[in-house]
Amino acid sequence: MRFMVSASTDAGNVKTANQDSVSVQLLEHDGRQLVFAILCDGMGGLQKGELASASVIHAFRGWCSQRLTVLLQKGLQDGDIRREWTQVITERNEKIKAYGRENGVRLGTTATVLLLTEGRYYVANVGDSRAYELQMQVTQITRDQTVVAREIEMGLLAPEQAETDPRRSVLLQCIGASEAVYPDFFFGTPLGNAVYLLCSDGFRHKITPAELLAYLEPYRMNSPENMRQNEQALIRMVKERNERDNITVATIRTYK
Amino acid sequence: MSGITLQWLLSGLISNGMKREGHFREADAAASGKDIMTDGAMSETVLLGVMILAAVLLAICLVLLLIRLLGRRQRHRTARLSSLNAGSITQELPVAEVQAALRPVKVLKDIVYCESEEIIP
Repeated sequence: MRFMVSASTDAGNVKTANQDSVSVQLLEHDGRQLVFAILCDGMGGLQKGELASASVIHAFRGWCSQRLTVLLQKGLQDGDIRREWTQVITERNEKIKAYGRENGVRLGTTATVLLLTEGRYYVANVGDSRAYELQMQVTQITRDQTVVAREIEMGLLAPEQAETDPRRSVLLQCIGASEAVYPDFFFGTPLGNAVYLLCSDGFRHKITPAELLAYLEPYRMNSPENMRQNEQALIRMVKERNERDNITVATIRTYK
Repeated sequence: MSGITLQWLLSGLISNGMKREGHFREADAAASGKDIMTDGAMSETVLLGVMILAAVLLAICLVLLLIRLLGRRQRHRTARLSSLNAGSITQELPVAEVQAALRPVKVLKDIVYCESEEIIP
């Protein structure tokens, strides 16, 4: 399996600072390609969200450069990924909280992390950034850690109500602003000729799943240049629909 | 008197003295009821025990010596310490880390965006 990668970000219509951070790396080990991607949405309501998101990106990139090769040599195990990524997230949570206390600020970030190999994908999520799988349909891989998402799961709120609920962006937890952080993990077998997507909530608020598929379906994503153009087209559309938040998306195309 | 005569006289005196002493000893032994032949000498049982103990101690010493000699021979068969291999020989090699160093992950494409140039270390 081979991969193509792309990413785009925009501060949006209202905010002067872009508190989203994103990293996508196309890697090769023993003749096989794999992708490691992280997307973080710094807290807009708190100060220095961009510092928090950049710190988490940096921590995971450091993990990749130091640990991924060793785990690949041993053979990737779900348990190893779960343990090590939880450790990274926990350490970042403590470091960012300590920074906040020392500097008298509150800051935090979401994080969605994706490791995509030929035989398996590994996803960790804290917050309401999302990972999707697109082929013939749009499949949301992650589960939002928000108040409204929990109420939907509990049957207290209808999904269509959530879109307009004023609490839709209220998180249950985020890195740097929670006492303890418990990431969700998702594992699966990647599809060939599919698109994997990481995005911040600002990207998806104003887009329907059908539009997502229309712009980002695999056969429209047949080169890195086309991938970036399609991302930018969607960002323009989102801004035209008066999205107020930062807008960030990363795409990975798989093909055999 | 000549030297020889003196010597003869002295030897006679000495032998006579010894006789007298022995005589006296015989007399003492008779008085005390002891057998002069075993007076001050160890009994057969004790002597046997001492001999056995000595034999055991000798055997222990021989065994220890043998162990020591074998140990020296074993040390001579292993590599002598040098600056190349000095140190603990019981550490396990970090095989995964060594292999990872030989076959690292290559970065084919790297996209990163962070508005903040600062990070929290």
